[in-house]
Amino acid sequence: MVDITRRQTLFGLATGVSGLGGYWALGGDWVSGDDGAPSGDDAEADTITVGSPWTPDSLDPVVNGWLWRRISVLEPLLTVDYDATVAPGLATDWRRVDDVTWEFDLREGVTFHDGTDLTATTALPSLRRAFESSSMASVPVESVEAADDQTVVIRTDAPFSPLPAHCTRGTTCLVSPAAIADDGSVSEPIGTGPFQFERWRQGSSITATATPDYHGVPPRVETLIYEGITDDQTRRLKLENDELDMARILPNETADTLESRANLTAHTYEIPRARFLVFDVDSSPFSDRRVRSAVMHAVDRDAIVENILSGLGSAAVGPFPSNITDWAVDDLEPYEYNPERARSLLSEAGWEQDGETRTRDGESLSVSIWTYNSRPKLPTIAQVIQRQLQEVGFDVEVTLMESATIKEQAKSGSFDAVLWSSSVLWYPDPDRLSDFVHSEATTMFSGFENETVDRLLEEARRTSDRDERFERYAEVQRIVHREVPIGWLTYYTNVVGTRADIDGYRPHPTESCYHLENVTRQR
Amino acid sequence: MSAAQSDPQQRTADSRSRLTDTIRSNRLAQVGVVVVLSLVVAAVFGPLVSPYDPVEQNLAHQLEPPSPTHPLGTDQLGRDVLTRLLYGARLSLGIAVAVTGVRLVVGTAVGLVAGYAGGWVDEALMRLVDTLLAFPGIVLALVIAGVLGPSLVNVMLALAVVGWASYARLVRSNVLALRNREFVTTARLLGRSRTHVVVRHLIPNVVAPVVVLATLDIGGVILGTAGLSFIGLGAQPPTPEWGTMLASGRTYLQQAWWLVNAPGVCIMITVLGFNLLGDSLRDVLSPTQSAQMEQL
Repeated sequence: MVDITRRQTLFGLATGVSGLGGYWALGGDWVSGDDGAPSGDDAEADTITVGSPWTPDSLDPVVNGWLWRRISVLEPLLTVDYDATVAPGLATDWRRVDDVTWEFDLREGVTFHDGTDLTATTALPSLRRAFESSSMASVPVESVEAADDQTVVIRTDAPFSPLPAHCTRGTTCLVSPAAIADDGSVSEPIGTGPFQFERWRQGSSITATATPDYHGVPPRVETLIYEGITDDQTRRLKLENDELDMARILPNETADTLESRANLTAHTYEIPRARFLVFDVDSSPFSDRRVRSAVMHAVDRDAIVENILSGLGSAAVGPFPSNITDWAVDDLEPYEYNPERARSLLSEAGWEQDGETRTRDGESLSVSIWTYNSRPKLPTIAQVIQRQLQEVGFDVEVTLMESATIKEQAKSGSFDAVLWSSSVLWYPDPDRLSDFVHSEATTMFSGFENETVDRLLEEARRTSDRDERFERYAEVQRIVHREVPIGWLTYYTNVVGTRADIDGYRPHPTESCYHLENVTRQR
Repeated sequence: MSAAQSDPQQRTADSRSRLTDTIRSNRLAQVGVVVVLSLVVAAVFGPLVSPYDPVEQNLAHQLEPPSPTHPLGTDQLGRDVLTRLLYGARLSLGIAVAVTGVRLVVGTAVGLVAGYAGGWVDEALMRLVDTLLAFPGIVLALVIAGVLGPSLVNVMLALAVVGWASYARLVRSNVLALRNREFVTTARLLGRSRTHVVVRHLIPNVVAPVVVLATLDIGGVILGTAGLSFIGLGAQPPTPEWGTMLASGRTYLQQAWWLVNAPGVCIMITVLGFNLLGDSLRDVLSPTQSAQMEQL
């Protein structure tokens, strides 16, 4: 048992660290046709079935593009590399011409699944549609034009450095102009990917087949079936019963069991996702920074990783896991587990121990932690936090709600703390920090307002120089670390189970694409 | 027969001897009684005996399989599963009795008023009852609990609201049959007040079927509470509630079978016990009503 766990942890780390220029890395695949592709082998003409929690709900890239992109049916202008940086996609190169103008060189010789050639003209309709959609509302694109046959020019209202990162999002995936109806709706995902859309059952499954004349390395399997299965136990059982070749996002503790079976393999790998506490900095008691710091000192994050997460993952320091992305700043001093320190911080803030629960001016230190079920470990972690906070004099109530309800109620009213989990890099740019701590752009509802943070984030958004940007994001991370509007708890490790005869699968850290075109079945 | 029915005391004595008879002769009734009694004993005394705290975490002893120190193993936070089950039994039985009690009182009151008053009052109340019965109970409860927010109290409220209609209908139909019987007419002709007639003559005669229905209902309430807690609307962690335990143990199905099976089996046995008891009570207390009850 112990051995397996250690090996898997090492494997997870190795996958995370060795992001650069891997054998299967997209960059490599795009550039050369014969790179790593075994010469024609009939046995590979086969089917692979993958199960994920998300159901296919729409054929429209603006709504569900991220899903079509994950299964390699649609492709965006730019992609995300295994080191979580922006890499070439349907655009081979891109450059910032001036503060607000960007040029993208389209790849030559690409055709849509319906035979239409990819040119600047055929790319425009989907791009315009994407940037006009509400899901891209935070991206200030002013116009999308064709400069010549193979060059697309995007202009923004204001200098906006994260633009290339946003061009990796599923929303911006290109579909053939023929797929866009006169009323602007998309009736079929006719893309450019290694798999092409065959049929779907809305809300449950998708069948896609290998694209005959794909512009990169052709897929090794003939048919790809995607199944949306919400329940993780169902996914696991289907994998064990041979109904799935790959089951994604399984509970951590299944990793050992999967490994112990001869016909199954578990892939564990860290992803840039964090579990964290969002404090309401506008209401007592978390309006006081000392009380928020006390929480961070009172929670034993290593124990959570070890005991609740089966040792998979690591205690978080800042928002970004440093073994996945270079945007992590490495001089943050982690909040050490120190209940004594927590107690003295609380006393300093005026909360005096009086019986089990601390009080201040007759008000007792009672807080409510809201969390939700759909990420299975959160309720358990909430209970551990509850217990550990009780140790230093908090009275904690845990309430499970729907995640949507939490967002709504936390935005509109006051709360104490929310235990949440979300990706910190779902588009590969640290501008994502704005969603967490910018006073206006924030989607994380802590109510945090800090002029310096706002200024740094806005400057970093305008600046094109990477080092200058890094400086600013590093400073934001330091300030946020000190002020703790959000307390980072742990990073996230995903468990993907596959059948042992599935070969060539390499987990992608941001999961923007499963890269199933690289997967083979050994028979 | 009519004499017996007009005299509650005698009737009760009668049924009591019949009850013991049935229980002696009916194996299933015995099982029901034994199960329910042992559950009550376990719920009342179990927590006093157990050396563990139901919410105290012990991360050094997570997911331990059943052993002499932990007869039903420990959960993902190192808590003793048996202890949690015992506290859970307290909670489940308490809630079931409280909810059924509210259903019974409200339903009986409505049924008495509707049946005895008749006219538009009856009409209005019974249409309300019809409407409530037309809803799938658990779905309506889900909506109510969802709107009120997740908590055990709200779940109790929701279950109480959706469940009283069957009592009202049962009581009303009994009252309709009783109101024209000689002893009721006599009482009325003697100038007894309405309250007197209802309290002295009607209520004693509807008690039996209502008690039977309540016993059968308890199982349903336990299931309902566990179901709503299972989907996160009921008891909040770390409260040791059976449905919540079931839900949180589900992800460990392969590593720790006891986490799911212990509360699952508990729920099953409890519901079975109350149903068996209810069935035998029905045979004893209101044989004529058996057919009528089937339809509820």
